[in-house]
Amino acid sequence: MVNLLTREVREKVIKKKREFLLTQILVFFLLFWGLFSSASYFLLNFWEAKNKKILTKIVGDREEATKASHKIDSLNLLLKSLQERYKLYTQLSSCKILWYKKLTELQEALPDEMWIRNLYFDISQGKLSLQASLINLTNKNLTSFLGKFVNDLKFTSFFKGFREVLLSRVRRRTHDEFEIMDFNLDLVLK
Amino acid sequence: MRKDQLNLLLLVILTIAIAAEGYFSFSRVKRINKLREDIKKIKNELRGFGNYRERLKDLEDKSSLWQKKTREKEQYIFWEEDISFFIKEITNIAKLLSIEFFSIDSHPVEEVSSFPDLKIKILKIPLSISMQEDFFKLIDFLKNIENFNKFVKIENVRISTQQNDIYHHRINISISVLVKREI
Repeated sequence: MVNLLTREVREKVIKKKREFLLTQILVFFLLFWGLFSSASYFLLNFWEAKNKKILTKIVGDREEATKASHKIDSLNLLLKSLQERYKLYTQLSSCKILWYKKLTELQEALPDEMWIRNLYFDISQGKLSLQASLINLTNKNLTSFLGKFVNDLKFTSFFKGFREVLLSRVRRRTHDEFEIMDFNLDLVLK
Repeated sequence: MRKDQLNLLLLVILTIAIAAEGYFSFSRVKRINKLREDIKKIKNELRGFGNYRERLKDLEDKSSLWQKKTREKEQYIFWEEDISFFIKEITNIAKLLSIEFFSIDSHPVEEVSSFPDLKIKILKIPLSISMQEDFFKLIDFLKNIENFNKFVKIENVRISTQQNDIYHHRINISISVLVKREI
């Protein structure tokens, strides 16, 4: 094909074509940029909203945790005070000895020839003092009998709760031809 | 409008659009990054709290258990501050066992402990009882006192046998009860 147009006209046509191409490119970019902007706007919006939501939630969690932390501190204090009170109440209400049991056991531990004249217990001294007597009814050696009794006493249920037994003030006397031995026993609480 | 003018206008619009989009997107990304930093910071703080829900629940359970235990203990060891209530109870026991008291004496109240934070103090009310009874009744009496549904502490026991009557002993018992008083 032979172009019969003059050079001037040809240049004009080429210029117009270039201008049209440029317009097309610019319009395309504008449209592309419009689409890109819209997409990025929605994506960024979504991303921001998501992060805001997470932030709101964890701020709430932090407030809850702070409140819980204060509550934990106060509960720890309360628990400590309750445990101390309970410990004190337990100390106050602890009984090392149940006296009805102890006296029953004492009665069971005493041989027939023995009787208690005086019994004294003071919790502040932590000591049970007994003044007792022993009568010789069957012609036995009272000293060894008493020694055996004191020794055996340590293995009876009566002795539970006591640490040691001390024998003192042993006196021998006679009454209506019967040999009697008076003695004192001190039982020290554990 | 001429084509070159239109192109220029389009170029200007495109440049403005790119600049505006860049500016807004940049500031938004900056905002989002700040949000993410805040989230990270708070998450680290939350990590420091540990598993607080479980700890709190555990502590609540523990404290309610100890409160129950302490309340039960308090109900057991503390009497009414009015001593006549205790004397009435002890007289009822004596009546039941046909025991006659020689005397019942009350003594000055002693302070055992105080809890200023709870505004309470614990007081001890001592009481001494004397009677003349046989050994078995004494044991029954002590059994009733020591198994009472409230705490009674036996402080002293003195048993003396009389020369003329070896079966009836002179008995002195010092007991004490605890009361709780608000400061």
